[in-house]
Amino acid sequence: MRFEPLSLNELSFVLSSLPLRVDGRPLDGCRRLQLRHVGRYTVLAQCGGTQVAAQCRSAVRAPLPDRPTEGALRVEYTASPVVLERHGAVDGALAGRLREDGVLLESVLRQAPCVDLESLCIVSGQWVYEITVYVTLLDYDGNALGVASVAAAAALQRYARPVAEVQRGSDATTPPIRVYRPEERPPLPLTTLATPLILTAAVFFDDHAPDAPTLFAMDPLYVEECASHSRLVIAYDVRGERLLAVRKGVGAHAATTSLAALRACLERAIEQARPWAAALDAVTKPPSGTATGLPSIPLARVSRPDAPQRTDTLPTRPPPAPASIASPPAGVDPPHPRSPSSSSSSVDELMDTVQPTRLRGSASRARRPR
Amino acid sequence: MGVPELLSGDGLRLDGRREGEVRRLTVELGTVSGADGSAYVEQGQTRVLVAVYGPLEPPGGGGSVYQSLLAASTAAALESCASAGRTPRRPGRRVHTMEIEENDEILDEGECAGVPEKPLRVLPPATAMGRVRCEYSVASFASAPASARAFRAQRRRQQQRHRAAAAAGDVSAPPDSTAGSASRPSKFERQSREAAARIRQVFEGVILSGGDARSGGTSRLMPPHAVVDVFVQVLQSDGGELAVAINAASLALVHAGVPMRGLPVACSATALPHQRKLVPAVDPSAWEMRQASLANTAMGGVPQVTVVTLPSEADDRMPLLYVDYQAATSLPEQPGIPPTRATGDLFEQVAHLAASVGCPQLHRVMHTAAVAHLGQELARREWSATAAFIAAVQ
Repeated sequence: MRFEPLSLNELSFVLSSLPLRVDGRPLDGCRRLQLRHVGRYTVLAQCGGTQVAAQCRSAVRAPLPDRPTEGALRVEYTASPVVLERHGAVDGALAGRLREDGVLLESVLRQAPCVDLESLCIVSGQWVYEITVYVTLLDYDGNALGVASVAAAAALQRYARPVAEVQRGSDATTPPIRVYRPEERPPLPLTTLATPLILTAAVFFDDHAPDAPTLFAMDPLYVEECASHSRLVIAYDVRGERLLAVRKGVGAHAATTSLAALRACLERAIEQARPWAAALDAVTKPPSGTATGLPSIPLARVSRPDAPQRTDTLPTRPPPAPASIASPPAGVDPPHPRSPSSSSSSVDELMDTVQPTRLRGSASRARRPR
Repeated sequence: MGVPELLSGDGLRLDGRREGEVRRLTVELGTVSGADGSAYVEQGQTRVLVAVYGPLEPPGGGGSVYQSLLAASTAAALESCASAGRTPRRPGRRVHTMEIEENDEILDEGECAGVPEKPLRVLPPATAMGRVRCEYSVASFASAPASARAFRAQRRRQQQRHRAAAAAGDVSAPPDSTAGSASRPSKFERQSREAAARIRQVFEGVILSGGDARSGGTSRLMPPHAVVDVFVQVLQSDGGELAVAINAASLALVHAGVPMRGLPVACSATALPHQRKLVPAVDPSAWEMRQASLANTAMGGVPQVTVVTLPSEADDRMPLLYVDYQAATSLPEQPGIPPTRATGDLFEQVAHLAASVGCPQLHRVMHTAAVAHLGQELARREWSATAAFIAAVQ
């Protein structure tokens, strides 16, 4: 798909219409952010034409020798081949810019700190979790870094890591651990301490009149980014309301600004971050009662008082707790190995199909509407 | 044993400086005689040597000017709108004519109309975007024993890994590879690459490449396809290495005669904890930074900022060219979380100190050294201009 570079007319239109913006937003206005979960693992963030998908993955490995109690957090920031082909054909430095953005994203997530690394330790000095966030740019229309940071923060907040247990009773110096699959033991969510957001602004300055104020356009479009003189990146923690980092690039025109203008832009940018933070909070609240990321398993049904009578006729089913004991917590009781962990109706159907012969009494109880 | 007081009752730091004073700056131009330009800068105990080679022909051979413009514009970064203007992908376009036409336009308008009525113009940037290469390396003897130990331990780990890989039969891993693993470079390498990228970013925007009217005819010295190599070697690191490296690189570029928009001056600053509040202090040494972050771990470390300014000759303004501010690293444990105004205020105080208090002091020394060097060069080459020039400068 051929993609032409932006013409001088388009770029000078952006510059000459300042302080108005091309899509009618105010200078400090951000586009509306749509954040949602797709499937079981992915978070998809859409902001105008920019779309970013983020997924988390965990691995268990040995920690660094000088930090034996800390896990690791890594971010792999890539663009899909469509974006690389479409924009990289014109903009030869796109890959380099993505690499720098990835480094910045990783350092912001690490230093926020987004995830408590000490909680990722299994055995001090021997086994820790390493969480890798895979952030992929699917479509690019400006402000890829900001949308990527929202997607990564949402993915980390919603991710649940598998449970690992040390296997006792071995003489090896490195005790082996067993990592349970999500079907065996429900995964645990990560301890997130901060929610960092990265806000981007395109900097426009007037070379002919250095006393004219610099203009900062928040959440720039692709045309605005191409026409801008440099870029301002602000990392902000919305949960703790702290400023994490400010970076102002140099750009092709050696854009200079004054500290007062920069400070004013900071204040406005932090105000504009609130709708994005609200969208993040709204999406990452897990549904109540279930382990995050897993569909609901009808464990409540297993511990019902009439259940023991039914399961006498089911030799393959593991015996549940007796009715006198309170229902066990969801994390301990493993579900039926044959249940496909889908909705409750299919579990009942399975139980019915497994037991063709049943006593009359229990059959009537089995058929009782739940 | 208590934490040492970083600021005494009189407001003096442990090396006798006030919070607005930078360390003693010593500048020497022309240290490396084989390089086109070199500078050796000592700021306190931080010593950096920079050698500059350029402007050079690009290593792939000169090629035609069209080829070099193609290379230059595809290597241009996000901010360059000139690549759109030059459109190298359309082979029918004659790029030279386009440039000359634009130049004539700009000259006419500039002479007749004064300030153009459209304030922000899309001009091809006369900068060396994509044509500055930087290599940043820290000598292994440069830093304090603790980090030298960490460096040696990391090297030992690499060698063990290579030995294990070789024993397992994987001969593809080269024994002298500086990368710790195939895809993840070591921490020191990553820091060097990041520092090199930052220095390159700063000077790409500042070096003039010529080819448009505003550069004042420097296209002979710095044609659009020329490349400038900047080699930074940190000989002793005691805090603020990036700022000192940028200062040394600007002086080395002046020594090499590479045309620039101005003399970029960099300064670092932080905020030291003193009696339960943070006092901004400029140009901290490594020891001060370490003590401050140790003392302030409850509050979450100390912020650091590196600011590069482009001082203009006309007035005393210090416009910010490049800002890199990093706040405290860990989460503050106080229940009363400070509101956003406080953190923005801290950033403003620290950045203001670096830009308006620290940079002018450094600029004075650097400017004097650069002008003195120019005077010496003139004295060597042209006898008649010497007396007039030196009289004008002093």
